[in-house]
Amino acid sequence: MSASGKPRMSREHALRLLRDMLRARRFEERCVELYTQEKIRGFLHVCIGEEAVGAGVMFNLTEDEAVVATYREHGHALLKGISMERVMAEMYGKVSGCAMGRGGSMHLFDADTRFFGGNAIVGGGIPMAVGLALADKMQGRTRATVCFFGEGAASEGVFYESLNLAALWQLPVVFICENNHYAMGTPLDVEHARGEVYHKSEAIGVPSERVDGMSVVQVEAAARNALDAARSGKGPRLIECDTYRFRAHSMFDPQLYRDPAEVEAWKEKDPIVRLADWMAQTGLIQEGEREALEKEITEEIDKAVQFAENADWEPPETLHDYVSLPLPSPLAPPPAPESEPSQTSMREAFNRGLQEALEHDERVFLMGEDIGRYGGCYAVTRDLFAEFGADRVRDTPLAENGFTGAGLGAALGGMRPIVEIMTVNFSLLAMDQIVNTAAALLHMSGGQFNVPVVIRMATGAGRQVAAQHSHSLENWYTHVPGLRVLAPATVEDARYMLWAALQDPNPVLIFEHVMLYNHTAELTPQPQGVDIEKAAIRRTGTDITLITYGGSLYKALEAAEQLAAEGIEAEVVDLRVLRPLDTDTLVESVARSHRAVIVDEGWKTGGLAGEVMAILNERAFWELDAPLARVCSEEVPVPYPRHLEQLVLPRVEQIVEAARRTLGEKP
Amino acid sequence: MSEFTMPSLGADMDVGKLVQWKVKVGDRVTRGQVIAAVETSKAVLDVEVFEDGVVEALYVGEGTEVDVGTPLARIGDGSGKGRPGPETPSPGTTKPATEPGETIGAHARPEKASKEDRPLPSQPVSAGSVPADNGGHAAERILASPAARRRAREAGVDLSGIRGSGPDRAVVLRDLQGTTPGRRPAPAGGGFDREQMRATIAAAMTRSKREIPHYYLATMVDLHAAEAWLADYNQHQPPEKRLLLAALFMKATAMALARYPELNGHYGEAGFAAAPQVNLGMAVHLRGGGLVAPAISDTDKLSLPELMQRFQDLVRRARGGGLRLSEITGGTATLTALGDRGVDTVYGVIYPPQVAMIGIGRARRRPLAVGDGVAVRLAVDLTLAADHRVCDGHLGALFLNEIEQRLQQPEAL
Repeated sequence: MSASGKPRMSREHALRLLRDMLRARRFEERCVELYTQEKIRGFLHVCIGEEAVGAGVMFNLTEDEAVVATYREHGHALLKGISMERVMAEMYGKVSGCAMGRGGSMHLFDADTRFFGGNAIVGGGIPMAVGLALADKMQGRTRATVCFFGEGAASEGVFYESLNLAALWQLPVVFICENNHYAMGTPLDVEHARGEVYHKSEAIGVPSERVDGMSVVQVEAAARNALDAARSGKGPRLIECDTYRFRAHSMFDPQLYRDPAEVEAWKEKDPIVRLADWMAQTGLIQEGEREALEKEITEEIDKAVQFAENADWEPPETLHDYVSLPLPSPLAPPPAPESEPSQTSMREAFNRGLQEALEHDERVFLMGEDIGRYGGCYAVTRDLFAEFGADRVRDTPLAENGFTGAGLGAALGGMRPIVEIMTVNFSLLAMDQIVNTAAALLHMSGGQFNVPVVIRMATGAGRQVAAQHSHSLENWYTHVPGLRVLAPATVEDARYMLWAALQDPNPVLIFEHVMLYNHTAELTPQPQGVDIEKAAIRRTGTDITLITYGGSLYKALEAAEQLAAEGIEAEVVDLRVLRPLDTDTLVESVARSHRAVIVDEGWKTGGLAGEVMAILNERAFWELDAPLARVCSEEVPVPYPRHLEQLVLPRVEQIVEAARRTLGEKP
Repeated sequence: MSEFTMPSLGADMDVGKLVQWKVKVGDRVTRGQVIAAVETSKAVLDVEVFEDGVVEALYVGEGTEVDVGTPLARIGDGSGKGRPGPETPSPGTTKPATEPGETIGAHARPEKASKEDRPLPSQPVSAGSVPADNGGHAAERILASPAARRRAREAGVDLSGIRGSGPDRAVVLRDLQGTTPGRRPAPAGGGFDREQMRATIAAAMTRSKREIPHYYLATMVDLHAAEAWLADYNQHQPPEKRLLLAALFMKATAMALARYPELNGHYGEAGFAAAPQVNLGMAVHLRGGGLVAPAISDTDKLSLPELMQRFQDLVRRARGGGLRLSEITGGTATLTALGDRGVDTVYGVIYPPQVAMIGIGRARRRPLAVGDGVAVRLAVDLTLAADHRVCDGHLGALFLNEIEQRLQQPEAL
């Protein structure tokens, strides 16, 4: 026992630490057994051997302090306070589980104890913890957030991004690196050139230390100090706990990568044995107390197993529950709508929407690259920094996955963040946070954690900024359940969609086409705001329907005018809401016109235009009087020279030609 | 040289019954020649051959039902050395199944055996390696839009023979303008489905009475002048060229329709559209029950002898099969005559989407006031059922009077 392991520790204190570790250990041992009986399926990652870390850290946490954990989190979940019955039922996949049975072993969640998973993307939980801490700080709370991850996560870029944000903003977050020497089966010296994770975090600016993770007393002491620092405004801390898992990575793991002797050597340091021996030596545990403790835990486990056995499966009818929460109905009107029509550019309209939101909802803040001091790369956030300050118009480092994840975390923490990503191309760096976390969290947590974040980004080509700034990848996001995807194309939608989006309890992505920022039109006041559920018919016509959105809307409208000169009346439908698609409006329009051309600046293969065509095929087949047609971008990366760029993008004459072809001979 | 296969004569056709061979082995055939009659679930249809050649073998006997795509005959150059028939003789087969001049009986179903037993090719078949004669079938598929197919199905119309104006010449909705629900070509051989025809008539007439606010007018027409003119005309004609009163009624009606376009056209989703020409339909009662109303295009522009000849041809084909689709679907107004069934007056039910039905009752001698006295004259009750959405009784009256006036001047018809 080291020097720091000899605090004057009360009997109750020591007994609780022992009991906590034993609960985690025995629970997982039973889980392994149940797995062999096929009661538990899928992945099962147990932390047997590592219990000192969870027990030591959790010991000093208050009930309302949030925990973000990994997929090896059974012990953390139990020790945060979720009942063993609900955790076991979740292992079984039963509806009484702590995530309705939808998450299973890797995705334990509990809103009551603020246990935010159960995250199975390595490193994926780190920015969420940063965001939760950011929300606390912005709301003046003095509690800490704890984030667990393994040393494998320290290889991920998001680790650096997130720790940098925490250090920059001095957030009350404690990072616990459970260094168990293997990233799945990859040994430490194969995953890190320098195996000391705390050196890396220290270099980033997060005060860090390394402790013996097999000593619950050392871990507890270090965590207490780190939590105190975080709570008292001293910023983030990192504790690297040197630890080891005694069992395989998962039930599928034959452990070919390590020597059994190594495992046996580490078992000599078993944290439970160490604490129990020390307590026996120092008289902190009496004869028979250990047995009583074991008996009590066994009974608790038996009861939990019985509870899980008896629990129900989620009925199939509720499968789609909690993919998204419903929008409020009716939506609250915007607080400061225009009263008079005025000539407005899309850029000004977006800016006014942001300004209104910042002014009328104190939970709202903006974060993104160059949105403050620079004024926004497309000047959409111009002057807002001066008006609302650096906290609410928050410049971020170039760390899309990190700050987007922090946005999600802040949303979970009660804020209404509006994250700006410069272009959709850059958003691919944040796709993990958007798709794996923001979109999935509500369903995966059994309806406990919705993520009311708004993420704005520019999309589209036409500014000669070449292949890495010009693509229309919004359809990638329209693939994902749980997201709402908006594409404002009129000044009214630009002005008012944001207020509606902020009322959506789910993540909302807003795509702003770069060629529309300068589009100027008379803004018709919308005292009730605009809806974010329906497509809009921008021009009526009976002969053909042109379906489009975003930057292609005005091309479609111009094509409609040219067709009108030939006696062909085209209806133009602006999708506006790319997910969930307003299929009724599409089907109804095509049922009238019997023909459709879909115009989409995205590439054709796997694109949104194809999805619209499939929907029309499914729902309006017998209304179709001609093959559906689509006009999309050429399937090349958008090139720089203007003549080639224009060649790539949908053109008015292509739309007119596609419509003519669809109509066949003139009547 | 190719196999002549059971054609697909509609999107929903899976099998067809070979009703009649119109050629025999050894006959020389030319592209476009009708060589067989095939009965589908809808009608008996003439099918044509798509190449010149000689019928070398008939595989399927009359009365046999086979799957679409089944070879029915071999068309070759007459040498008999074209591609082997579907029952390719293999070494050891005692006798080639299809020598020129041989007809296989109805019970012989080579297509079944070949379909079920044909081994899969060991290599993926590329387009280039597909024998040309197998490709011929695809070309026969009727291109039609889903919406046109649905309209055609509802109307009981066969899409074959309709000229498409859509992309790739597909049949689209506008090509079916005037398609009237509930009517179908009367099949040859009396093989039409009576129940189905009843059902389609029921649907059309129900729609008519549900959707169309009919108004009815009637007037009696003195046929003295018409009768006298007809007698005079016919006495110089051989029997086969003599005219009937019906021709006069049709011509007078058609000319009146040309003058009153509000009664000549179709009422569609966008409201009434007058037709640019007069295609007067004639209700033809079918033996065994049922009704069709084939139309004669440009009725008002035909001379009486032409009209008479067309009318007789139409009735014959309506009852014997062989109506063209344009005749079935092209009517712009319809005339119904039940005089030969012994009734004085007939009030028609409008045939949607048309807007007028003209009725001719029994022409018979009646006492009429002529001048100051009473004379016995041949007279007929002329009626109109018209769509009140499109026009009012005032116009209908003018229209009936127009017919009557024209019948008083038969020499001008």
